Amino acid sequence: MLLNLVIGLPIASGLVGYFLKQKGSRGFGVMIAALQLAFLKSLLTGDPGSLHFFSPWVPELGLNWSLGIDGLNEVLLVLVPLFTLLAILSRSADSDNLPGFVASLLVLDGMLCGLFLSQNLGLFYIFFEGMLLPTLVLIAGYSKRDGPETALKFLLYTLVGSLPMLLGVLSFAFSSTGGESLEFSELKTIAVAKQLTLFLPFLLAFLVKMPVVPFHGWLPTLYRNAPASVTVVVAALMSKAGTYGLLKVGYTMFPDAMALMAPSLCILAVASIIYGAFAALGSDSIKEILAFSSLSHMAMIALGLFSFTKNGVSGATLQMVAHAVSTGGLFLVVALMEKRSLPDKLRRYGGLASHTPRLAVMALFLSLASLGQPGLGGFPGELYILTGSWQRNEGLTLVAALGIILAAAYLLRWYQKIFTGEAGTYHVPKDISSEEMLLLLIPTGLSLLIGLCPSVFLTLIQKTLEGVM
Amino acid sequence: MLAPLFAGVDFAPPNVEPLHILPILVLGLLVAAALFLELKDDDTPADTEHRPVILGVGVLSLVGLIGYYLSWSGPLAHPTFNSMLHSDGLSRAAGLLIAACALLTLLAAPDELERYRNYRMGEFAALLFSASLGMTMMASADSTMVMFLGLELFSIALYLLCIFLPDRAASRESGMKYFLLSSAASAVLLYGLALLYGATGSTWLSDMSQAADTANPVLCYAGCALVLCGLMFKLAAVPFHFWAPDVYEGAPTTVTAFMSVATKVAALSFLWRFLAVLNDQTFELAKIILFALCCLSILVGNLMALGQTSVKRMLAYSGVANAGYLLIAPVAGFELYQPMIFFLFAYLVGNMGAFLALAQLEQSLGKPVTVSDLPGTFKRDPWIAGAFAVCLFSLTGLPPAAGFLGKFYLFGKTLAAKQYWLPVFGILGSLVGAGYYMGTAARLFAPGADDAAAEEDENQGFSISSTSDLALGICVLGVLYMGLAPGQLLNWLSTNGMPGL
Repeated sequence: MLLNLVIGLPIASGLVGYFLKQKGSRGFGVMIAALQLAFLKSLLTGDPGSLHFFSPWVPELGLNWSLGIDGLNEVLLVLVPLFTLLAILSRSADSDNLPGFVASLLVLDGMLCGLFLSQNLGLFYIFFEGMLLPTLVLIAGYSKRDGPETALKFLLYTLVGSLPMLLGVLSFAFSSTGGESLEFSELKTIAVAKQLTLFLPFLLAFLVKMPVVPFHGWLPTLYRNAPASVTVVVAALMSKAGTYGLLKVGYTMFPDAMALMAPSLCILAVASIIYGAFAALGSDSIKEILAFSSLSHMAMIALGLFSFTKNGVSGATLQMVAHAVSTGGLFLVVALMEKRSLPDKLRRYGGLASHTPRLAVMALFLSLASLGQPGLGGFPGELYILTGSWQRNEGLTLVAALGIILAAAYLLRWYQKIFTGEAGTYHVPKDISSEEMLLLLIPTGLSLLIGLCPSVFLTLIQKTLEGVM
Repeated sequence: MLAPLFAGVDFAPPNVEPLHILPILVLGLLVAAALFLELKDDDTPADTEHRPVILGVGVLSLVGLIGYYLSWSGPLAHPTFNSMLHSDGLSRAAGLLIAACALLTLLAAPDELERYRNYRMGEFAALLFSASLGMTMMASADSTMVMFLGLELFSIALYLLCIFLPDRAASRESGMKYFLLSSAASAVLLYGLALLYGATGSTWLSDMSQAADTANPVLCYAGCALVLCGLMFKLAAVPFHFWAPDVYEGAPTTVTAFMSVATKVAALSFLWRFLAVLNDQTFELAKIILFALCCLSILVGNLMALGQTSVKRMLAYSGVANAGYLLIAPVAGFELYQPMIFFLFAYLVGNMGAFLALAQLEQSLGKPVTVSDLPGTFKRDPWIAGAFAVCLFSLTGLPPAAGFLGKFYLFGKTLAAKQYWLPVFGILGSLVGAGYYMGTAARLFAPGADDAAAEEDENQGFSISSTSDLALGICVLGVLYMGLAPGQLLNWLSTNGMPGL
C-alpha cells in the first residue's frame, strides 16, 4: 500500500498544488517530497513483503498495477523525491507563478517513481510517457525565452522514440499466441529473430531519452533555455529513465538482441563520449557545458551497459546514481547562480570565488566528483565501466578513457573561468546562505559516500544483477 | 374500427415497444417541449423566464437517458418498431454517446449564446434535441428509409445550428456551405439506396443481406459506392472533408463540439450495419476503398492541421484525422467493435473537452482564437489551460489520458487481427499529430505579454457561468477516469452485447 502512496501522493498533491497560493506552495512541495522520503525509508527498512504490490488493472489489455522494489531501482527511487525537494528549494520564493512550478515538479516526481517501480511493461510505458505533461508545463511555462519551441522540440524528439515503442508494447500485449500479459517476469523468453525486430523501437526510445549522439538534438536547446531548477531534474533523474529502461527492459526482454547489437552500440556510446566532451570544450555557455558534460557521462553509462560484462553493468548502475548526484548538484549550483541573476556566458565571468567563496567550494567539489576524482562519486563507477569494457574491446576502451581526461579539461575550464582570474562583468552577488549551503551539501555528501564506500551500493546492485543477467 | 379500411392490405399495427424506443420518445418529447416553451418567450433579453425550465428539463431527461442506457437489462439484441429499428449493443452505445454529446453541449451553449447576445436558447435546445433524435434514429435503423429520415432530421437541425449566430458572417457562411454540400451528399446517398433497392428489392438492411448474393453485381457496386460516399461525407473523411474546416470554424463553437463527435457516431454506426450486409465481393471492394480513405484521412488530416494558425481550424482537421482512426475498425474486421466504441468514448471526452475549453477562451477573448493568443493562458486561468492541455494529451494519445487507452486498444486489436500497416500508419499519424497538439499545449503554458492581458481584462466584462465549467469538468474527469479506470466501461461494453447483425 505504501508503494502506491509513493506514486499517488505526489501526483494527487500536485494536482491540488496548481490551485495553491504563491505563499506556502514551496513549503507544501517540500513537505510532500519529505513525506515521500519517509515512506521510502519505512518501506526499505520494513517488512520485505511490502516491497511488491500487484493488482489487476485492465486485464483485457494486459495491464496490471504491478510495482516492486529491487536493488536496481532502490537507490534511484530515493533520489527522485530528494532531487525534487532540492529543485523546489533552489527556486526563489517570489519567482513567477510558483504554485504551477511546484505542482508540475511533484507530478513529475510521482511519474518518475512510477517508472522506476513498474514491473509491468504497459505500466512502464504509461509512466514513461506520462512524464511528458508535467515536463511540458515546466519547460514551456518557465523558460526564459522560447519556452513553447523548446518544449515542443523536446517532446517531439521523445515521441519519435517512444511512439514506435508503443508498437513494440502492443505486439507483446496482443500477440497472436494470446499470452496477453505484460508482466516483466513473464516476458523473458522470446525467440531471437523476434527480439531483433522488437528491440529496435525500445532502443530508440531509450537512446533519445538519455540522449546518445545522434539523438541528442533536443539537449542543448533544452538545457540552455529551461530554468536550471528544471534541468536539475532532467539531468539527474529523467535521463536515467533511458538507461534504467535499457537495463530493465533491454536485459530482461531482449538479452540476445542486445548482445548481438552491443558492439555497434558500444561504438555509438564512445562516439557520444568524445562528441560530448569536445562540444563541452568548445561552448561558451555555463549551462551548455554542463549539458554536454552530462551527455558525455551518460554515454559512459551506456558503454557500461552495452559491454555485457558484470563489471560493466554494475559500474553503469552505480554510475547512474553517481551521475545523478554530481550533475544534479552542478545544476543546483547553476540554479543558485541564476537566482542571483548571474549571466550565462562564460566570457562575462571571472573571479566569482572572491565574492562567493562558499559557492565556489561547493562547485569545485561537485566538478571534481563529476570528472571522476578518486574518492568521490564519479570514480568507482567509471573504473568499473572501463574494466568491464576492456574485457570486450580494448581499443574502444582506450578512446573512452580519453573522455575522462577531456572531462577534467572542460569541467576545470568551467570552474576556472567562472570562479578564478580577473573580475568579470556581472553584478556582484551575495554568497549563498546557510540554507542554500545545506542544499548543496546533500549531493556533496552523497557523492563522498559513493566515492568512499562504493561497496555498499555495489553489493546491492550485483546481488540483483545476478537475477537479471 | 379501422380494420375494414385496410382490408386486403398486408397491414400490421405498429408493434410499439416503449421500453425499446424510449430514447426516441424522450428526445421527441424534448423537441416538442422546448419549442412550446420557446413560443412563450420573446427574443428580448428580459423575457427569458422559461429558459431555466428548458435547460433543467433537458439536462434531467438526458441524464435520465444516459442512466437508461447504462442500466439496460433487457434483451441484448432485439428488432423493434416493426423491425425498423435495432435495439442492440451498437444502438445503445451510439445512443449513449449522442446523449452525452447533447448534454455537454446543452450545458455549455448558454454562455456562448449570451456572449453574442443571442437570446433564443429555447430554439437552440429544440434544434439540438432534434439533431440528437435524428442521429439516434440513424444509428439504430434497420430500414434504410428510417435511416434517411434520421439523417435528414439531424442534418437540417445542424444547418440551422451552424447559422445560429447570423450576425457573424462566418456563421452564415458555415451554415450555407454545410447546407449546400450536405444536401448534395444526402442526395448521393439516397441515390445509392435507390440502386440497392433496385438490386435487392428491399429497403431493409436485413432483407438486403439475404438478397445480396443473387443481386445484380453492377447495381450493388454502384449503390454501395454511392452510399459510402454519403457516409464518408458525414464522417468528414478524406476526400469528402473539404467542408469540415470551414463549417467547423464558422459554426458556434459549442455546435462544432457537438457535430464533430455526434455526427461521426451516427455515420459510423450505420456504416457498421451497412458493411455487415454486403456480399463478399462487394465487401472486399468496400474494404479496399475504406483502407485507402482511412490512410488518406490520417495523413491529410494531420498534415493539414499542422499548418493552421486558427485553433478551431486545427481541431477541425484533427477531426478529419480522427475519422481516419475510426475507419481502422471497419477495415480491420468486425471483431474490432469494442475497441472502436471505446475509442469513440475517449474521442468524445477529449474532443468535446478541447472544443469546450476553446469556447471559453473565445468567450473571454471575444474573438476567434489563434495560436498567438494562447500564451499567458496558464497564468490568467490555470483551470482552462490545464483542462485544455489534458484534452489535447488525450487527443494525441498520451497516457494517462483516455485517448491513450483508446489507441492502445484499437491499434492492439488491429495488430491481433493481423493488419500490420494500419497501426504503423496510425502511430506515424499520431507523431505528426503530436506536433500540433503539443505545440498548442506548450503555448498555453508560455508566459504571455503582460500588457496584452491587461487589455483583455478591459474588453471582457463577461464572466463564464458555472454550467460551462461543469461541462468542461465532466470532460476532463471523463478523460482521466477512462484513462485510469477503464474497467467499468469495458465491462459495460462486453455485457451490453454486440450489434445484432
